[in-house]
Amino acid sequence: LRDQERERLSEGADVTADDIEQTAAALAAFDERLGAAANAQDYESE
Amino acid sequence: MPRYAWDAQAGRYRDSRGAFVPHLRGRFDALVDAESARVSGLLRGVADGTSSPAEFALQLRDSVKFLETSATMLARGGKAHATASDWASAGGRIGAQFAYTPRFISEMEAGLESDPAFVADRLTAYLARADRYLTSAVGSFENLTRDALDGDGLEEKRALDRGGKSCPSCVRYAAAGWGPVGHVPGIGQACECGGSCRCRFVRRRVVKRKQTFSDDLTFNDIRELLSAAVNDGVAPTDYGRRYWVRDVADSWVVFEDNTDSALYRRTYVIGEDQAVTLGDVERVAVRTKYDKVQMAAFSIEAGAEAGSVVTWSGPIFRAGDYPDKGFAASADDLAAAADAFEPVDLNVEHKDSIFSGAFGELRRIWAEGEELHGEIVTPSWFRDDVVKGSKLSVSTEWDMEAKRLVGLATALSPRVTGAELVAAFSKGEAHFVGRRNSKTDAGRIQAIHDHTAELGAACGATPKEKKTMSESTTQSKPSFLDKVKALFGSATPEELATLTSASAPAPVAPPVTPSAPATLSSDADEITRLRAENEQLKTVRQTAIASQAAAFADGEIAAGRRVPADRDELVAIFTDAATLDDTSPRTVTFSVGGQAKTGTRVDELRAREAARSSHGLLNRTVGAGGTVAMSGSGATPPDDIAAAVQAAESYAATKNAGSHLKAV
Repeated sequence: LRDQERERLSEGADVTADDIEQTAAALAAFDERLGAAANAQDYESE
Repeated sequence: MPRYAWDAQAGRYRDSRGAFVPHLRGRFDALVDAESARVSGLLRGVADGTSSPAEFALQLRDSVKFLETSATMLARGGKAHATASDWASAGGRIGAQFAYTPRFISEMEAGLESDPAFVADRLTAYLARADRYLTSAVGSFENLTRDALDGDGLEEKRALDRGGKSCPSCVRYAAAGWGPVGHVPGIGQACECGGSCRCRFVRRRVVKRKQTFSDDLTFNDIRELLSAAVNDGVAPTDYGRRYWVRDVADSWVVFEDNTDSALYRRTYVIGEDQAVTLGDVERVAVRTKYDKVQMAAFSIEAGAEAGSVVTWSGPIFRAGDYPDKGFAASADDLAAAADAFEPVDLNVEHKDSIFSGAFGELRRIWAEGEELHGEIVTPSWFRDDVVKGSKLSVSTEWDMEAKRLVGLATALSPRVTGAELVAAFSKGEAHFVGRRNSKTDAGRIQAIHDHTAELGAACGATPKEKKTMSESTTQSKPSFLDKVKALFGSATPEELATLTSASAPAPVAPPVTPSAPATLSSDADEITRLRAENEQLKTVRQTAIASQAAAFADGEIAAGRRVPADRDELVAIFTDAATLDDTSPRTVTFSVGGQAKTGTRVDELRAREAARSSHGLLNRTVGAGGTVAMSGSGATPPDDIAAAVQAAESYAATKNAGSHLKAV
């Protein structure tokens, strides 16, 4: 394994803020409804 | 783009209208499939040597993390609503999956060192193994969704993986059927497969049993009961199948299979305990039926009668918008409809029946500005015995798209009342205004008009119009009534002079019935008057025939050709012949003295009777010498008498020859 690969494989499983934003963006790109859910606002505030 | 809001109380998304968003599980499955394809691609690359185990492992870890993060985000209301605790839990699940990857990679690397086909030989097993790592996110999605959900008023059941990856425990949980939310373990919990299946939860609203004194169910209650009942029939292994109620009647329900949109119908009975009993399933299909649209009804009037036919005319439609029929027509549309018109039968109330077309025909239509007019021809008995009046309500049938008139029907209730119409011929001029009329058409219609007027129909034309219309109405041509009067012998000498004068103009004879008004106010009055006159004339004619028959019979008896006992029979024979001559005139041929003659039936009867010999029974003559002789005929020649006497004497001599008496 290359060093870079070994480093990535050793990364932790924690979900970071970047992970959340990237995931929300990826969901919106993948599917309109999933994107709407990922970026949903509070119903009470509507 | 859908814009969802998270209802934390319900634990569900709502759309922009406030309605709950359907379960996103199907969308999440697609997401898992996409990641699985990406991972599988790299694993196949490892098998054919185009990718390294490390590249595959990195993709596997990324996909696992992405799917678990997505599951948490989607199940908890989006990135704005997932809590730190949620993300910590997600990190724990991701870490558990990550823990498998080093051993997976080491195994492949070791195998490939000794055997380049090591992964290729085990590709199917490795693909399934990688898929299990990813599929664990499906269980996370389902379980997190359930945890967030407010289960009040809902019930759920487990639906199995249609790919057949469910373990025995999963099957057992599914067999438990419907129950409160949480009545069976979550996906991947307390089971052998550990979440490598794609089982799911299906939920429905609980139909609350009414606990009031009223046993009445609302329509919504019935619909929900039926929805629950038809979906109870879905097998636990029937992954993803759902029946949506599409229609409900008193005794049956139609529902749609969401997997193939097929429609089914089942009969049902709801018991007093609100238990639903369903009948057999039958496949059904929706049938589309197009009905003719009935447009506004108009009232038209009967016009003149020619022979046994009555012509009706008047407005049958008016340009405008008819939003309740989804139809609109302009004046130009009406003109175009008139151009394209073909005659159609007169229907009855827009329904097919044995009377369709039996009452008449719409012969032509023409546009007059905003109105469409029509001309109908019916038998006179339709007016007299069916309509029993001179007004007829009709309504039109249209080809909605082409805006073409395709039918006309009688209608009981005119939608547009008070449409005062102009009867054909009442203006003294036939209505050949329509643009479709050729000169030939106009000529024919005018000829009909003239003939009708000649027969006595009222004509409201001005003198000028009458002149252009028909000379006959202003000159001395005898009317129908005049001819009848002449035929029945009741015309005055002045009238007879008029009738027999072919060329000399003379005023038209006054009305026959003294009580009849000089000027008829309407066609109906005219018809009534004509009928009365006809009855009167029939009586006169019958009296005349009876008188003639009696005179004929008495004359035959007096002539010695008939005896008094024959009188009644002779009167009857004469009456029959005379009546037939009136009702069914026919020229008959008969012989008079060996010569062929022609004449009426009465003429034949008279000739036949005249040819009879006199019986002479009632003739009495007194001969010379005081001898009274009875003879067959007063005209018998004397030679005949002498011959008879001689014959009698000869007979007597013959008879006396053999007896004791001898003639001296």
